[in-house]
Amino acid sequence: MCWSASWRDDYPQLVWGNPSAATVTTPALGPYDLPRMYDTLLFLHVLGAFLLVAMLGVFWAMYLAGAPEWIAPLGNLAFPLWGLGSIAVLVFGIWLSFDVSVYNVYDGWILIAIVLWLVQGAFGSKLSQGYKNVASGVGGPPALSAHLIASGAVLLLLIDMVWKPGA
Amino acid sequence: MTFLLIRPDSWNFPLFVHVAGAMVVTAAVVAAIGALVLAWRATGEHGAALTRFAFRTLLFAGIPAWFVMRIGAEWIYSKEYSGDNDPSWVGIGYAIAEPSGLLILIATILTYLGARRLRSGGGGGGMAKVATVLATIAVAFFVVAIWAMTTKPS
Repeated sequence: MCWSASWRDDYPQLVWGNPSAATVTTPALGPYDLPRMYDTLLFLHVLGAFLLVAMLGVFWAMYLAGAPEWIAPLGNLAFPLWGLGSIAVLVFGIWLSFDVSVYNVYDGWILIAIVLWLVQGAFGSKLSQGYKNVASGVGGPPALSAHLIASGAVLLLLIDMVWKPGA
Repeated sequence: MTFLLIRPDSWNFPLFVHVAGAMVVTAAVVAAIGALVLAWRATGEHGAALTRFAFRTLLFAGIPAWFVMRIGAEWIYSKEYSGDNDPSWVGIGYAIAEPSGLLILIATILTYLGARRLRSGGGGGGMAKVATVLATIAVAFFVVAIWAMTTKPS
């Protein structure tokens, strides 16, 4: 557990520790106050992660169903939504690292996250493009290994985000 | 009030179970909605296959993942709070968890009945449409829950 005074400079009304034990009063927040920005960025970051995982779920569902003709049109839906979730996770995650001074984009756990994002991006891109091709009727479903690697990278990303090794 | 929390390490695994369960249940319900929407436009055996696919997705992924999410939630709650003085975002989580589980359960039953009727050629598309609406409401609940869990209003 570590933190620096600069965090307080960013968000003086934020409290460390068990919130049930905290008794700090804060002034009413305006729409552009910093904590609202932090909350908004975190919400969009996590929402992007859920969208990304949801589309991985669609890829798995299509794979397990054998990607037959009747389900192939789902590939057209998953392709742009996977991209949107993937970009949202990265953009809002890096924005958070700049917005909060105790996080630095070169922190170990953030660098690990970026590497894992690149791995899931590479293999998720294969999946989304592959299922888009399935929807267009020009190819079979992507390989099982691509599903496993993309999902494994996302699982490790979640572990990295929860445990924040080195933070 | 917004709290920034450095968690004790012992909270991490329960939190991981909760979030992972929430992600999988969301993924399963979204996949089922996708299949059900396709089923609206499909005809004959394709419609039945899509509805059956949605049913299996909800039954084998959605419902188990909901339980994982809910068990993780109770686990992290027991570590973090004592039962009194709960902040409102925890209340929002509770208010959303059970109704969303109920919606998923009803949607699963409806897709099962719809798939059976479609297979036997006796209709059933209406049930699948109702299931689609219920599952979509569940996803809307999930978005509200994500908002509450990340912004932690008062």
